[in-house]
Amino acid sequence: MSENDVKAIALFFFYALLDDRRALDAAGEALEMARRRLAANTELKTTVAIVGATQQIWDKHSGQFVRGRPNYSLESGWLVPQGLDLGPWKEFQKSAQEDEFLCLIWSKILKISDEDISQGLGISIGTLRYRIGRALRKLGMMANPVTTKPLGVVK
Amino acid sequence: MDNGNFYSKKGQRKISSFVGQELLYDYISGQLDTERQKAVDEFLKENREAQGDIQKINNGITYVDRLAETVVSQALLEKIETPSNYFQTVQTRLRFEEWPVGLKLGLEAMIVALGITSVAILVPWHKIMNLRSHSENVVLTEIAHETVKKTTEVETGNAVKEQPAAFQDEGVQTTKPNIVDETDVSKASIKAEVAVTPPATPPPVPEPQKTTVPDTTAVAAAATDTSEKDSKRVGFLYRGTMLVTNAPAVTPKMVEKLTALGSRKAGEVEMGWKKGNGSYFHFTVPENKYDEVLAVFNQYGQLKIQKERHERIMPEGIIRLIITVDEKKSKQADKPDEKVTAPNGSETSDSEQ
Repeated sequence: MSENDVKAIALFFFYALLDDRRALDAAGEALEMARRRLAANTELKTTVAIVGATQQIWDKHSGQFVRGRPNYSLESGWLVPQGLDLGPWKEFQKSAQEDEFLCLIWSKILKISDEDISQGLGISIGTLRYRIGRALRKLGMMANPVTTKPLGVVK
Repeated sequence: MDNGNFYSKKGQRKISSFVGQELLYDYISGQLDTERQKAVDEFLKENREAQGDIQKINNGITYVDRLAETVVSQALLEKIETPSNYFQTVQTRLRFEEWPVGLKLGLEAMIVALGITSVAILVPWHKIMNLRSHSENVVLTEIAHETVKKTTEVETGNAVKEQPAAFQDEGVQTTKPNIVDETDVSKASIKAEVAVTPPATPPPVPEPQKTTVPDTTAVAAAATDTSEKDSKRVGFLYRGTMLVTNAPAVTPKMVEKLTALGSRKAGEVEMGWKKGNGSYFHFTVPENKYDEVLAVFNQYGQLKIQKERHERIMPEGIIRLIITVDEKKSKQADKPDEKVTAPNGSETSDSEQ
């Protein structure tokens, strides 16, 4: 798996959990699982394996923490674009339905194609797009128009 | 509203508000075919709520596009890619940091207690105790050195007065162990030999260096000579009993006479220690005074004495005796001709003493 794949897994858990330590643990586990899946099935696409592994590890960790209680530090090494307010995302992560915000991460943050996501989750593309549309509507309601600025450390 | 302007994909019906709302994301992302695209366009013109939703979705897309620019540091990527070792895995899974404080303290206390218990079990305490007793034996040797010092004084003029102190007084050795190993005994016997010898013959006037500092070479040579002989030696104890009339009155006289013969207490108590109605004598005496000691006791009754093997080996020329003197009852009668054992091991009767 490439460095971008590792980065995608890391980003998924960072935004899904908003907890840097848990995100590292979960990303490590998901990476191992994705590798095992790829080793077991050579025809499996890497992105499909990533979706399946991250979903499974998410299910494992989601019961062990409470959404809406972010826990990350300045020294954690996650470089969020400077000037970007994570408040809307925190609010969204807290209130949105689980399947909606997970699909949004896969699709819009990790930039995985709808076909691969739907294959990894075992759902139809229509269902996936429906979830993404609803998630975007909720998130857009919370987010103000943002400006493009250089990268900075998480605040 | 003109129903003919809004049709479904089949061109049969107008797009409802619900369907129009659900098609907005596909509309924005360009996933609709031309006919539906046109239908949604018409829907948006008339529906202000849908226009607001379009704006929300665009805001959301813009926001997540910014989130997607998040960079993960190289260090974090390496940390994720590095397979964790067994300890880290266990630590992660246990989540020890998140345990209640009481539970953590209890676990730590238990681990400490287990450690202490293990140490207490595994440490060879008996060997350590043996080492300790061995060091005490070394102290015994140092006391023998003091005896030599006394001998020096004897040689310089106080020969007659100091003679009784020439042999080791066991009564003084309150801190010494009762059991002495053979190597230490051999050293002690050497010192005792040096101490006992002078009074018999007038000592030549020694040079100061010889008297003050014992010649270690000579002592070592003597130790070599005597060690072979001492290794074959066996310890003995003379144990006797006797009945007397009016023991409280007789005992001080016995003590006085025994002291005059050079007897010294050998145990914890003084000679003539009151024991019930009688008295108890545990003492050492030069071997050549044995007959006179027997005579002292036989003045007041009939002494029954026997020689026993004992693990304590006395210095050469010194014997140890334990005599128990009991008050004679009126019914009891003296038994004549009790056998006694001479210091040389031969058995003789009291009448022969």
